[in-house]
Amino acid sequence: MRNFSCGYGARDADVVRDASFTLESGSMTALVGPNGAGKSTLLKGLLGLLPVTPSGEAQFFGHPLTAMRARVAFVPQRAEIDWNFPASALDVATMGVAARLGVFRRPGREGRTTAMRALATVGLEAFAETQIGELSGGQQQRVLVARALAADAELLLLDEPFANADMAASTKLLATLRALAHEGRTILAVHHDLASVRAHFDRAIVVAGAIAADGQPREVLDPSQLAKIYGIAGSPEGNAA
Amino acid sequence: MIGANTMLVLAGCALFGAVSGATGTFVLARRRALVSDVAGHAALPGVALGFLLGEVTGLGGRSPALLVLCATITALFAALCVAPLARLRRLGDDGATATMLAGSFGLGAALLSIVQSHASGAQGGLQTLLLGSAAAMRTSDVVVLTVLSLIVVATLTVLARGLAMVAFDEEHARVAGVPVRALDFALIVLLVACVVAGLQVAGVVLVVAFILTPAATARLFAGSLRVTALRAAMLGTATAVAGVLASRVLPTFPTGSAMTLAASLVFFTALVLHRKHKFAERIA
Repeated sequence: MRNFSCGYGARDADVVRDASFTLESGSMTALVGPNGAGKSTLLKGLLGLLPVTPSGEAQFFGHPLTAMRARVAFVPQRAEIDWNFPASALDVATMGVAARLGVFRRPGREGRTTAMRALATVGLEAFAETQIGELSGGQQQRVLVARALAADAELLLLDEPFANADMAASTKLLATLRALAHEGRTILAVHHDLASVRAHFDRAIVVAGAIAADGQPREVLDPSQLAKIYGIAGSPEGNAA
Repeated sequence: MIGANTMLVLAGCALFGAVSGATGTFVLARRRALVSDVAGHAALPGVALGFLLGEVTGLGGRSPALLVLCATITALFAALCVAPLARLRRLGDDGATATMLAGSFGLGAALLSIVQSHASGAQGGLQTLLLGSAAAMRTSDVVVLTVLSLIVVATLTVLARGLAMVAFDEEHARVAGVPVRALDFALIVLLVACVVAGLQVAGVVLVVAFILTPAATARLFAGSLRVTALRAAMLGTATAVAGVLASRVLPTFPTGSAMTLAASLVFFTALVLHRKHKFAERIA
């Protein structure tokens, strides 16, 4: 099934040029590449979050994003959120419901149930009333995933969801994402840990100013390929082994 | 005894405290705290312009409608300029805020000196707008305050969910199709409404304390943004009432400063209690 293809036209200042790919539904794809290669830029460009409108087109389920907002959710880097914001885990998950219903409709009891179910999916139902600032880093990341689930998004775009996560937190989040993929949801995540990509993802897209490689993680991320990609674009990452 | 005039002042200040506290909660959550300072200072040239316009057109220098209208326009203009200015040449939020604040206050001071050179301007009492003169509130002021307050509260109630989403995570809100720009604009308009409503109560310099201090105090405690806003509204009312009563007991004490001091006192008391509580939790 075709989810979307996207491309950036050639432009002097473009961070990522002429990228094209189509995602399979129900799959887990990782965007990997050296620091500054444009992984997050690509993700945000797809979602129209960059100040400059990208050239080329990004299609979601065969349509432009504006027509498909309800089926797509963005999960930002945890570091981009002010966790002192006055809200409970349930409040944040409920924002996902509002993203689907529109901000002027009351989520009501049904919305609350949806939000609670989303929290349960990521294993946080016991923390529904906890203030988000008091959650651990891993839990905060999963609250953001719950918000996307409460919106019933079929395509989740995650910007470095494993950043600064310890082993236990990463394992939990990976299990959650895999379960979502089994449900038929599509996962696209910027990810730095190549060993983890190899072990848990269906596909790896290597970004280095453009798409440098795309395919099965085992093939794309083999040592000789990596040396080439990371060697050209910059220094290899510590966790590339 | 509390006379009719004090009751009037009390009612006006209590209402203003509640509305500005609630609005301030959303402003603080969106990290636009200092924009309220810009709006406050930028109301000054508006008031002076309104006075001069009134004199020229023969409406009279102290036509409340004209003063409010002009103050709204200049405050809104300055507040809306901050964001584009911050993006321009990487000036940054703090640089843009400081530039707008100083610039508008300078313009206000210059215009005020022209007003004061007018014979009628000297008696106009525009000076009181610097620090407010709640004690001199008239029925018409309270009416303006009430109307503005009701509009602000109604708008906040409708927009609360969207404002919370944008304040918490702007990018998520944009992907979800939330009208971020429109909500940001609405928030600035509400903020300016509070500033203009508060000119008589607190003046251009202290009005920011009413908008932000109760909101900052309310943020010390857990709860959703909605609960925080309600808490800030109650704190705003309580400190406003305390300030009015304090300045009744000590008549040389201006009401606006008394209310500001009360709000700050509550904030620091809450901060100390909050720290103690956290510390007790940690060692328990």
